[in-house]
Amino acid sequence: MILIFLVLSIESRIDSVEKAFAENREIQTLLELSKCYITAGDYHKSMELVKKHERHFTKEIDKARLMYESGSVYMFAGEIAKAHDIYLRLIGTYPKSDIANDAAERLYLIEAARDDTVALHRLVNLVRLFETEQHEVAVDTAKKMLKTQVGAYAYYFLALTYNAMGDLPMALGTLVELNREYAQHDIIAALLFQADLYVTLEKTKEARKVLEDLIVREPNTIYALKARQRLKELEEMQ
Amino acid sequence: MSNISFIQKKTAKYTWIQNLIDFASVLVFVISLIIIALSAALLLMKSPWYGLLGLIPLFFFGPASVMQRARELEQKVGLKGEIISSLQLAKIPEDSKERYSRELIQAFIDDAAARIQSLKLENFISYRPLGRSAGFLLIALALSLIQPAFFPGRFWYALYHHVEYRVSPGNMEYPKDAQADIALHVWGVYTPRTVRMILSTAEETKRRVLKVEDGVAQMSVTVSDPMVYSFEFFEYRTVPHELYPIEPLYVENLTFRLEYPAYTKLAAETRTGRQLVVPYQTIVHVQGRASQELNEARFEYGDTIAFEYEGRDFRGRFTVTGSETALLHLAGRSILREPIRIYAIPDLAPLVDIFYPGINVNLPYDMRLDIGIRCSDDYGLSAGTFYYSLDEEYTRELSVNPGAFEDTIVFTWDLSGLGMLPGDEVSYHVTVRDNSGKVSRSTVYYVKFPTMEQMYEEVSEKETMLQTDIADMQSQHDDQMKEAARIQEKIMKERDLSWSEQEQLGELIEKEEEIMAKIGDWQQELATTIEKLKEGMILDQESIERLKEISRILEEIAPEELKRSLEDLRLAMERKPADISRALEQLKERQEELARALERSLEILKRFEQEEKLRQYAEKARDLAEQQGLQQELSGADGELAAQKQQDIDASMEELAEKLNELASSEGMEQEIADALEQMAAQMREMKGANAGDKKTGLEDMAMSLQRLYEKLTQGRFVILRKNLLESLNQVIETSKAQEGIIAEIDKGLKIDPVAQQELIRATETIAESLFRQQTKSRLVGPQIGKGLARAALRMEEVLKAHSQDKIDRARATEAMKELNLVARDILFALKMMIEDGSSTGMSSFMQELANLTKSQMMLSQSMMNILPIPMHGLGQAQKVQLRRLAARQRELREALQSLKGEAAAGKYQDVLDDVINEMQDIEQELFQYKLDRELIERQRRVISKLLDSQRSIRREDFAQKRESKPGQDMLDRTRPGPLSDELGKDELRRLLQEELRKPYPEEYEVYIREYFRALLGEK
Repeated sequence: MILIFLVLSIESRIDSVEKAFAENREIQTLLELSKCYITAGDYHKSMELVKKHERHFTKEIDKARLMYESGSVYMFAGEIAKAHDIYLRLIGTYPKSDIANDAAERLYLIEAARDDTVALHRLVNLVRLFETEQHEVAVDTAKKMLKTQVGAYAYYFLALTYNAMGDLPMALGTLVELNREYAQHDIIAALLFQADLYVTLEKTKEARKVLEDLIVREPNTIYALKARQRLKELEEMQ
Repeated sequence: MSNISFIQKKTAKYTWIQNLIDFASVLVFVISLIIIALSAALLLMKSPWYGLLGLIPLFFFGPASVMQRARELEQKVGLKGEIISSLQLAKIPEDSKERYSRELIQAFIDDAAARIQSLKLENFISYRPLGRSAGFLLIALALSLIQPAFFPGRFWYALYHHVEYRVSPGNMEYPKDAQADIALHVWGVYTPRTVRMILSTAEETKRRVLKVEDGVAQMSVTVSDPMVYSFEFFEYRTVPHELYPIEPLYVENLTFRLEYPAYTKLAAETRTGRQLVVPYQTIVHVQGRASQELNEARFEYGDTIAFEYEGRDFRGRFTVTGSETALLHLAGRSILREPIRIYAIPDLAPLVDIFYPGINVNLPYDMRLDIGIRCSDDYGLSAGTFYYSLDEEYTRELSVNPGAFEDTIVFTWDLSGLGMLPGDEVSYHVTVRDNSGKVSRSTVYYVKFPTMEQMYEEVSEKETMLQTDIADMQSQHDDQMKEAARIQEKIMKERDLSWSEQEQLGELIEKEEEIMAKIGDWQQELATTIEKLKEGMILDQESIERLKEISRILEEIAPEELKRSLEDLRLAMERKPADISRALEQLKERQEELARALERSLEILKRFEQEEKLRQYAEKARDLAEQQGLQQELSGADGELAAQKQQDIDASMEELAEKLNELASSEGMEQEIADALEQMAAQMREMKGANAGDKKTGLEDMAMSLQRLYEKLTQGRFVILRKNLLESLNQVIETSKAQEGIIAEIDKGLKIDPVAQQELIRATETIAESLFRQQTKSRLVGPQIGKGLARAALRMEEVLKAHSQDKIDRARATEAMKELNLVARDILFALKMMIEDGSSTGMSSFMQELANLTKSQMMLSQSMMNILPIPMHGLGQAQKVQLRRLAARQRELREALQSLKGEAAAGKYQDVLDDVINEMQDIEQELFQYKLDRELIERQRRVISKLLDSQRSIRREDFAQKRESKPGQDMLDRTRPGPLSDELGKDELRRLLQEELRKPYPEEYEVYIREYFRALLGEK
């Protein structure tokens, strides 16, 4: 039922965005349309769209954005190697652009999970579901992956999805469970996110503990810096 | 007496006396004149006969007549003609026509007589003429005495008129236009001061006065035409002599007809000139014509050889026995000694070289080896033989082109018939014979069928040597860095550089270049080893990959920038000290990079070495287990041999235990692995006391454990490295994102948070430190990553600096982010490479399995051969047991191959593998039935051959994709890069000599070329 609803709603959204793009060929509209296609699982159309219009956008920032989109389409379509190449090229070609960071993050994700190709594909799908805001489906998918080789990431994305759905306690609970199930995980972003959730839920003591633990665990690293920044913000709040 | 008679008498008396006195005067005068004339003649070197000239006055003397005297007397007395008249009147006849009166006449006479009567005639006699003459005589005498008094020599010469003399050269022949010295030698009491030389040619006569010096008067003349010469001095005139120009004797025509020795196979030929470059024992017929009639002809060449001659022609023959300058001696009107240079060319031994493979090689996978032979000889080849030996020597005639100066023979040598087994080695060489029967032998090469252990050992040895070399290079490079720093400091202080320091700088450049060259040599060496491994019978993909990895490391060590910096420094040395200082500054940075690269390479190599050794020890344990198995089989048949074998195995076990301990204590070995190794070493020692069966099992377990440990070590290192890299990547991305946040703040028009920026710098430095640690563990984490992070930190500091000056530097902030992103990309590349190197397509593991199977099949074949020959009384019980074991082992191999056939990588090779499996099954059955015959052996060979074929076909595809085209290079078998061997160098020179001699060049150069190369060979 949910799926039928989703399909129907995405179809109508595609129609409206297509019209909007036909009227005004802006990069944002194009990306929105591509996202719609991805959401609908129509990667071919998405790729065609990007390739067809990429030459119309001459600004570097737009080109980088389209390249990223292209990589994402390949990644979500399961062609990880191609996506990997495109992301790498993107970083090499537009290292000054913000989107290069996103590409690097994607690549990190691929590298971190590439030991198990099947699990990697599933994780990529989870990312797609999360990014295309198909939260319910994402939750179901993530839950099925919690015990796989990419379980730690499944927890993390599940928490992100709950958060996106506004269910902060569930998100927090998921992260706590992540730390318990995968005590040695190296998703530092999950710890920072956990601290943020504690802060949002006004559990500053717990937040402080998470951040302080992080500083002790990763001194002099960027994580320690981020943790200190958050601690500072906490102090300022109080 | 009448008066007239008185007068007449008186007058006559006077006349007589006076005339007598006059005559005496004249006589004295004449004597004086004679003396004067004689003196004058002597003075003038004239004949004394010239003194007779003084007689001349005598001829004009006549006595005065009576009448004249009468008149003279009248004058003296003062008469007036009375006497004369009286005398005249007295002569008038009486009957004269005039009729003078006689009386009167008488009277007159009487009167006259009276007048003179009283006169005393003595008073009127004049002695004055006599006195004058006497005076004149005295003067003459005085004059005549002057010369003898003052010039007695001249005087005596004038008297004697004799001088001794000699003319040289007399009559003489001279070469045309030659200079001749003509001389007159004089000696005696008196010699002339000058002489006159008269020189006459057909055209003219010249007279020249020559000064006499030391008794010699001489002059040089050019004898162009015939000439006559003589000398004149005093009254002498020498006999004329002749100078005759003669034409030189020369050879108008000279030919040498050469009859070459038979071995040269050269046709007889005729040569001209004065130089002969001919082979030893060449018979030379000489024929020629001289410019003059000959009266002698001979040839001086070692001995003197008489030549025949007739008229101007001469002829003769000799045999060439050595190199020297001979003389052709001809004599005619003149003599000729014509030098003839003779170079006797020795017949060099033929040259033979196995240029391909030209090194010791491992047995190729198809058991076929292409052999390339190059042979040459200066006078032609006749035959060649290829020798090879395993247990016995075999020969094979080579199809050498008879008579060819050079020949290249290429053929494929099929070694499959030799039944080689792992560990066997076939030696081979070639001999060639030339036309004269001289034989040369090539270098002996070996084809080795290596065992896995040997292969591992070889690779491990290479790694160890490279490590040593890099450590040496590191030490040398450190010295150069210090020296460069010292010189730079000196320039900074003194702004000048002494000559000796410039020299040191030159040396420094050379030494650094040497390091670069050495690295290059090693790269080539590794490439050769890789090729060798690829061509080998057993494919060891892991070793190949490892060597490739090391090769890549070396590529990174030798940065082009350092080479450029060295070149810049070299150029700067010709300029000002300031330029040198700048170049040194640039060099310093590059040197530091190289130092870091060397350090890093050394660390990586150490890690590789540990891994390689572990693998090698696992193989060693496996080998020992197999040997133990064989020993067990032997123990039934030959107790003594079995005991000896057991002893050897025990010693090897002890050795392996020691090596395991050494490896465990090696630097950087993971603790867990080290502990396990120590434990295994202890087990190994304990195992020595166990029985043979337990020992075999124990060794097999040990081999497996070591193999697992090796995998654990390599995999563990791989995983840790990957994990660390991922961690670093994550940090880089996070840092980049944080920097992005700073840029976002700038874009919002806000000031940056300096504390945050500072923290980011620190975080970047932390990442750099972490990555630097990884650099020493993997080639993939290159120095460019560290450099990128350093640049990022620098940009961030610049942002901070701008902030401290109340400025906003967005560009620098963006640059920092860019650098971080590029670092992220580099790490991602490294990760990608790791994955690709680590697993690839799965083909390599399939290949490895297949190679292992082949190896096991070969081992089995070897074991089977050990049973042979079968005793006459048939197989014993022990042998039957052994055959059953072999059959069981064969079954295992078949099953393993069947299982391998199921893998995806086996794909299209199914048919081939099926064939092999069927053959294996047949062998298995025959072994169970104890059918150990030729057919079984052949079947074994077929199986091995097919397995190898499968490997080859699969590998070819693999190579087609992976192998890079490389220019041809020498595949020298040496343990490390080094100079050519002496022998090789000598052959090379000989080859060059022969090559050069075949090139078109003026004949006269041949001797120089030969001499040059001979000298070089001599030096060698």
